[in-house]
Amino acid sequence: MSQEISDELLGAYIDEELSPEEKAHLVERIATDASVRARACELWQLKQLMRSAYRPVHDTGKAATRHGAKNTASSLLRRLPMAIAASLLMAAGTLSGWLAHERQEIDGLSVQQMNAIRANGSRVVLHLVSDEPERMETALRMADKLASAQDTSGQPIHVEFIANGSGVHLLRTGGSPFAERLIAHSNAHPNLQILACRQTVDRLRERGVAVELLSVVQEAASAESLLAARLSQGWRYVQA
Amino acid sequence: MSLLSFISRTRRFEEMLGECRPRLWRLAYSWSHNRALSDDLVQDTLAKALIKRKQLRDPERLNSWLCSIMANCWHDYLRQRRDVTDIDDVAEADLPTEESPEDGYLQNQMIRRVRQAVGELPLGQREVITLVDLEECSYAAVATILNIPVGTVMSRLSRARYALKDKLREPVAVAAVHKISRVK
Repeated sequence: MSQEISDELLGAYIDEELSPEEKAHLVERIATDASVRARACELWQLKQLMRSAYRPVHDTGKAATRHGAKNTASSLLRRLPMAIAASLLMAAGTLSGWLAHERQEIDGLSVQQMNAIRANGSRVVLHLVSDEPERMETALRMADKLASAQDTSGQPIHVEFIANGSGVHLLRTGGSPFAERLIAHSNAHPNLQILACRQTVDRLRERGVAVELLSVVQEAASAESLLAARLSQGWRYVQA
Repeated sequence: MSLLSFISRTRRFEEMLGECRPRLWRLAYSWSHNRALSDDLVQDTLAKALIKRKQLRDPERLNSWLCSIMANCWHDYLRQRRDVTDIDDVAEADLPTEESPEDGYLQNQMIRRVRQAVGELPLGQREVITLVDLEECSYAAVATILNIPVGTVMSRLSRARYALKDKLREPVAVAAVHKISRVK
C-alpha cells in the first residue's frame, strides 16, 4: 500500500503525461499521503518557477518600456515569482516541519467561527491570496467544511472561494496538485463557487504566461471589487 | 488565382512564424543564456522554416516543428565548437556567457537564481526541462524534437528537477558570499 512513488511518476503527473488509470491511482495517493502531496506540490511549484523565470519577449528595450509603463499596476505580479520561490524554498527546506504541522492541522475554522457563520446569514466568502501548499490545504478544508454545513434553519451555507495573487496559480490547469480536489469539491457542493480574479489572470497573460483555468473555476472581474461587494452585502469574510 | 493563393498562404505562414518568434527566443535564451546567440538561433530557425515550409504537413505541429529546427541549429552550433563532444555533458561554463543588462525584470533576484541554476544544468537536461516547462511539449514531442527516446526524456527531466530543487535549496547567504568574494 505504501508503495514508493518515484519522482519520474510524480513529474509525469505534473506534466499531465499519465494515463487515466495511472492518474487516478496517483491522485488517490496524493489525497491520502501528505509526503507524496508535498513532493507533488514542490515539483509543481518548481514548474511554475521555471515559467516565471523566462519570458517570451525578445526586444529588451520594448520589454523595459512595457514593464515601466505598468510599474505600479504590476507590482503584485512582480512579486509572484518571489512568492512562488519563497514557498518552494520554504517547502523544500522545512519539509519535515511542514508534515508535522500537517498532522496536527485543524480545518482553520474555530467552533466559534462556525457557529457565527451558521447564525449569520449563511454566506461566506473565502479568500486565498497565496499558492503555498499549506494555505491551499487549509482553504480546501475550509471550503469543504463550510459547503457541507448547514445554517441554523437547515439551509446549506453559500460559499464563494476567490483566489487572487499567486493563489490563482492553484486554480490553473497544467498539473496543479489540487486540481482533482477542487473539481471534486465543486461537483459535490452546488453551493460552492470557485472564482479567480480576472485582473490577476490578465496580468499573467500580459507577461506571456498561458493561463487556462480549471473547468470548475469562474472569473470575477477583480477580487477586490467582489470582496467589497460581498462585505457590503453582509457576507462573512474568511482568509485562508 | 493560384499565384494569389500562393502569396496569401506564404504571407500567412510568415505571420505565423512571426507570432512564434518571442517563444522561440525564450527557448533559445533558456538554452544558451546569451542574447546575441539567441537572436542568431531564432533567425536561422525562421529562415530554415521558410525554406522547408512544405515539410510541415500539420499546422498544429508548427511549434514543435520549429523547436525541432532550432534544436538542430543549436546542436550544429555546438558541434562547430571543437571542444564539445557530448551535449549531455555541456554545462554553462563551456558556453559563451554574458552579464545581461539589468532591467526591471532581471533585478528580481530569484529569477536570476533560477536562471543560474538552469544554466548550471548539463545541456541535455536543460533542453528537456525547458521544452517541457516553457514550451509545454509532451514527452513524445520532446523525444522527437531532440531525437532521443522517451525514457531518456523522462530520466533527464527527473534529474534536472532534482538538481534544480537542490540548487534552489542552497541558502541565499552562500550566493551572497560568492558575490562579495568576486567583487574583491
